[in-house]
Amino acid sequence: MNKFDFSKEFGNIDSKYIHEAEEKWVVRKKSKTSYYCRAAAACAALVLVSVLFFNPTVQAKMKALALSIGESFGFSSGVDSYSEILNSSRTDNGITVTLKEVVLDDGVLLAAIHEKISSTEDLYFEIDTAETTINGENMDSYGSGTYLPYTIRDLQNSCIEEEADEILENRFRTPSELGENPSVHLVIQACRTDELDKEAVGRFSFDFTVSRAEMKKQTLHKTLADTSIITEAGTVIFKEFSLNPLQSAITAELPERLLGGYELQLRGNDSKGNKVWYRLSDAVSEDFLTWNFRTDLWGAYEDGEIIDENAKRLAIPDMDSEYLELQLYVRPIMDKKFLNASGDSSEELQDAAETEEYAEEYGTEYISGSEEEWEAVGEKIRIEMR
Amino acid sequence: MTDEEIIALFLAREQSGIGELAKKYSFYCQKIAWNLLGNKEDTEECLNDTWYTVWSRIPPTVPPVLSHFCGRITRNLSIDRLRQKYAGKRPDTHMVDVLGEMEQLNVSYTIDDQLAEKELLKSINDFLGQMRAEDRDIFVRRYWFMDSIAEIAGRHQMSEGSVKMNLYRSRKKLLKKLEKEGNFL
Repeated sequence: MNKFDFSKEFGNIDSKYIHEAEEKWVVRKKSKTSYYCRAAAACAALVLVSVLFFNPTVQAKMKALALSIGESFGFSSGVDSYSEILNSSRTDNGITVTLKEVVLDDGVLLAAIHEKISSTEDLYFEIDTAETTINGENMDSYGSGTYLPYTIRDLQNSCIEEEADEILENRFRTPSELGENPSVHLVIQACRTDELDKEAVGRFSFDFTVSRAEMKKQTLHKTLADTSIITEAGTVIFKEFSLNPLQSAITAELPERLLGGYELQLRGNDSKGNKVWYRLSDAVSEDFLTWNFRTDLWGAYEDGEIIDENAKRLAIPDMDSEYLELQLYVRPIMDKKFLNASGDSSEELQDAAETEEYAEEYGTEYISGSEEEWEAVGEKIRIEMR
Repeated sequence: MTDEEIIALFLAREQSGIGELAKKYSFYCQKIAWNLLGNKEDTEECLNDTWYTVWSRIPPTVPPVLSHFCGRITRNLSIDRLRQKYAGKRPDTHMVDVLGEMEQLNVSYTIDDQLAEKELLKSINDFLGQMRAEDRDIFVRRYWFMDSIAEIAGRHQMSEGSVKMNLYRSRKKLLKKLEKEGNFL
């Protein structure tokens, strides 16, 4: 019996795929309007939160709005208010999905679900971007993700159970105007992991509307002024802070020297003493200088770390906190510095040599990384949440 | 100098071809080697080995894409070097993570060796062709160019968690395909 060595054999794949991956990756775009402008226009987007609807008066108003809007968008029935849609379940093909939370906030749609699978099929769940609409229009999606309260090593050991919680994410470019009472047609699909054509084995539709004005009360969007950290690589200027029930983000302008060469995190506490932890996540400007730091959708931990069951929780600031105190941490990605050197310039060679010295001093675990290699830089910052 | 001109030097056994090859593809191959080895000395040795391996293979081989031909050689030499270096050890590094992920896709086979390998390669190419463009780019960047998760996340404006999840799913799909189609064990 022989063993097939994938690592070697993969080197022989068709050249067209290598050539394709050599090209600069372009995130799919539909509109010529800059994403940054549209993101700014959508700053007052809404967040859907369950607690708001505990008041029966609000529920009654929402029902009336829902029916009215539902008719205008062609939903003659089946459109619920947000309070009714939460914790509701849909079953298809022996699979049950319960919607635990939905957040629609500034270009991101998040759905926290609980899934129950009656068979032993290996399935995964995602937001069906082709079917999901806001105000009857498809979203201009550019990224998606699925988040489980497991580390990647847990997943490799195939410990996903028949019942599980997940958070599904879809990032999209927001339309210029959502209206006062946007209607959401959320479709979640379950697919077999081994089916390449991605034909769904189950679809779960949730239709609801929500009052934008009321929902705004459940999210925080704040422009930050005079909040910056001076580092040796330049100044990090913090621009905006946002918080919703599932995630918090801090937008910052970063010096070019910090980008590409380092991993970045913001760590600290909210005023109630809860630990908060933001990771550098996604670029928000086309020049790749303005980025979002985001909290993890599950507890903040390094890959490979053993997590106590109780620690698998959302790691976001308390909505009632007054402020955050945060420290910037960096961890070098050493290869960037080396690879940027052409090898011809003595200065560049010196940079590469210094980089190597750093690697020798701190070990070679700098990419998968060890906790000790995070270094605090600059002064702490305080972000007022109110 | 064009690829054709460099290849012509090799075919004519002109040693200047090695210098021209190194001049043109040093950076390209250096990235691949560094991604896996993460060490300047090893990377440089690996590059030197690459140029002389190319010298020994051309002729008779005339590669259709010279960059990919060199890249493949660098890749294989880097993998060998890393395995040799860490034989019996399991350091928790990016490079070992990449190899570990790829090891999950190793399958055993009992049928005719050459036929099996051809079929496996065809299955992998078919798999790549069926993937969504974004998934394929992530997969090839990770397992051909050996990019770190952080680099891929930056390239795709995704979180590192999403990249890991994407790769995990792709690996799982490919493994099932290899096991299903190839009569492998």
